[in-house]
Amino acid sequence: MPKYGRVKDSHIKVLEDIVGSEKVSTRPEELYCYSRDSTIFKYRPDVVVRPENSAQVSEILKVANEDRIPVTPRGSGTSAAGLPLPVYGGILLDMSSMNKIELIDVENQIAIVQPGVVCDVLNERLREYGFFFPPDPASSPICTIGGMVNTNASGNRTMKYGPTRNYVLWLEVVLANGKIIHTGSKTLKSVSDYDLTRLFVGSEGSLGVVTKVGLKVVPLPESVGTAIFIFDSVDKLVRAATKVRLSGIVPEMLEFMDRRTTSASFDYAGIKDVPEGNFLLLDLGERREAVEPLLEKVVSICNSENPEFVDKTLDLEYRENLIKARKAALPALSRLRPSTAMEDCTVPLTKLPEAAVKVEKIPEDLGVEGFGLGNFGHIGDGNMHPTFVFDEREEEQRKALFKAIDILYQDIVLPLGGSVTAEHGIGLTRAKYVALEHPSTVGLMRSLKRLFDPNLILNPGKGKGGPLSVEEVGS
Amino acid sequence: MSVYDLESYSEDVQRCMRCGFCKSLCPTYEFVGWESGSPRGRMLLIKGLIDKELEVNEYVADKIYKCVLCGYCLWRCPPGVRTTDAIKACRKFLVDSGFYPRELDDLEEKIEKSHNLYGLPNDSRLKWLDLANLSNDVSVNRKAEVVYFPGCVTSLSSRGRRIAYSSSRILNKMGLNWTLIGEEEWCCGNPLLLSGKLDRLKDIIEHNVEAIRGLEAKVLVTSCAGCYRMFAQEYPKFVGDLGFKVYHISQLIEERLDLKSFMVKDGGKVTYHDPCELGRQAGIYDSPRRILKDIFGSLFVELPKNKALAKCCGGNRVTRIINPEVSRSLALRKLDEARSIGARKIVTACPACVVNLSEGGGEVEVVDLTEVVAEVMGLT
Repeated sequence: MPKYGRVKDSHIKVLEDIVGSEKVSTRPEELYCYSRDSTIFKYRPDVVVRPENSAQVSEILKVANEDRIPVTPRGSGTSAAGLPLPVYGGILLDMSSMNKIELIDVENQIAIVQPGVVCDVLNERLREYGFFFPPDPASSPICTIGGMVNTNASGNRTMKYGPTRNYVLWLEVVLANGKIIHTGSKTLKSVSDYDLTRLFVGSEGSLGVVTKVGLKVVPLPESVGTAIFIFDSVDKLVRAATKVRLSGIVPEMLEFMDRRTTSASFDYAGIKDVPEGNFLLLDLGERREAVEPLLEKVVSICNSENPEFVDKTLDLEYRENLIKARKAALPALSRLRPSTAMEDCTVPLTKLPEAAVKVEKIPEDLGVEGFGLGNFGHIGDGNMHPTFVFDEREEEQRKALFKAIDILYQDIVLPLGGSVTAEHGIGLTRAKYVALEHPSTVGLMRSLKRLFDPNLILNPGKGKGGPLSVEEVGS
Repeated sequence: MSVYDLESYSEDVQRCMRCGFCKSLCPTYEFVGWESGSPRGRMLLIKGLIDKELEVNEYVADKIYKCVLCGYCLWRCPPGVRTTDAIKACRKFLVDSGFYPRELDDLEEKIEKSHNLYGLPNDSRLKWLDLANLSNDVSVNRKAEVVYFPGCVTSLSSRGRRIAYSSSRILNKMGLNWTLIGEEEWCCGNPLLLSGKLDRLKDIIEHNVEAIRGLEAKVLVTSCAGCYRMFAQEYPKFVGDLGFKVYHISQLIEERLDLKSFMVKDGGKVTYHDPCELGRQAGIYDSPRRILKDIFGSLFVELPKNKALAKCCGGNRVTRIINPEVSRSLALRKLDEARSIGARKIVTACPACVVNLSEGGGEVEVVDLTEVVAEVMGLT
């Protein structure tokens, strides 16, 4: 474990001078609340600080760097990877107060936002101009742009529009030593620097603290239409989705939920007129006159795999509820068991059917009572979110979780040529697989981490720059 | 375990996996700013208390009492955590532990001694009959098919009484065989439940239920969203089947009055504010809207955040007592929202919302649904 400095009363006083005493807390109740994200792990910070601007972040980092105090940035705390958890304590930077939309300039297709702006809030504002920021994580009602940049988040619309990195034009970042830098350009094209912007995107808060983001925004599609299907097997569902993908039609969303996840999500969303089963959602965003013929075409394609139920709609309210059900897949699985652990893997598209079938068998092979699985994800990108459902308070089930994760990544995903994270980040649970997936570059990544953050104070104990095993990290 | 025992919410708070969907429209999170001020944070605080990882203290109490119990988190929660009930149970635990806002003692005393939340003599519940010249048109404490339960704000506050006038005239117009229970009407108990002061709640519930059963009523109707939710959802938890049906007056109006012939064709846009305890928490969204569409046609416009997404106006009694700045701020925001769509009038279906929004002031007129109906029908 790196030797870190301890947060002392003198540090608290300095932090209070920087941001004001009302924005600093060492109350045990707050530290308790900030010790959690969507994972089962718990790590308490020593102090929570809520900065309001880049200058404050810079001052905080200077103090932390000098005394080698860990700093963990946090947006809305929705991570399913333990990213905002302060493994070694120290300062937790709650960035949610930095939530101003500083500029919307649709003529130049750019929005400048602070990192605490919530994804759906930004899109609500952009809609007034007929524009949007396409990446659409399931947590969009609450996740922040800062979190999305740091994870290179993507979500439901990636198949057509790509992930967050495709939209980040420019960044303001505070480095570990407090220096404020700007990367990229506020133009749509620029190759005048090394692509530092892309280096920071997906860096999980390990290289610097993002304090402003210049995002490319694009016009909303004229019209949307949705088709849904229920299949009696995941295999048929994957084959149908593959046929759509190869047809030349590019849906905005091509999403799936297995039978258990569908049941829990429909229960939450109050969807009663669609039978339960393996659910495929296909959403098109096109020119007005193109939507209906394309919907007909995808229905015809999917019908070749004999779905048990088919429906298509142009009704926005119905569509919204279907998407709401899909977006709630992870938390809705908590209806089944008291704990959930969502994983995040991607495999080559042609390997998806094989991967889906193997993943389905993990709980059965482990044979631990009370330990199960719900699977869902972005089938158009080969990205699955196998989610283990269990009771974290039961030791055997907790052990089963770590075995299941090993099987998932070591025995299924990596041998099939996949990647151990598609959009959530390495975080805590996947740190041990980085070296397996990237044996030739893990050393370079560590060197890069030390170049930006020599004292290893930024979000330590996780991520690409300092992989540790789950056992080392503990819980 | 008794009703609202904190331990009985142990599995609920365990099931909260902190997705944070509840945070997105929580009306009080932004007043607090810290994670402990979000619904997700409150569930963690409760878990901490149950698991004995946190000590009960004033800091915890402050956060738990900041909640306005609007129920947005309950509606939004994919795991199905009973958030609002967990908050009520936690408040009971805080009261039992001695950590709660002391202003609530006064409220409790008034309800205990006078059976209403103002501490007025309970026979003054009927004063509105004289004020509106309705004494000869309304029966009191007689056997009838329907009991009208106005509730404290409607019976006893000067603004609320106008809702009693319009409601009673509407019930007469329907030709119903109805009665009041008069001074035998006790505060429904909602303010005590929201306070966490549950010691006398069962007695109050039993008293009101017996009083209504004693009149052999088949139906209880109320014009108050809080009373409605108490009778429909909370009373059965304490005494089982009530033996009578519970209606909000908007449901009866929709069922029994044809208002299309009273359509208003000018006068500006009119909008509707969903009371939290009627809309999101009881699922009654459509009856008030159908009535307003019949009356105002295309002049009726929705607020940007409506139905399940409607933002709380901050009008519940407990919030008005212990967090008046939150109540006022939420009311002003609601009125701003109405102004943003050019509404001249905001209609709601709860006296607590009417009173709180009216105190917000400004050029937007605040009225109860029953007042609108009575006015267009000439029942004034």
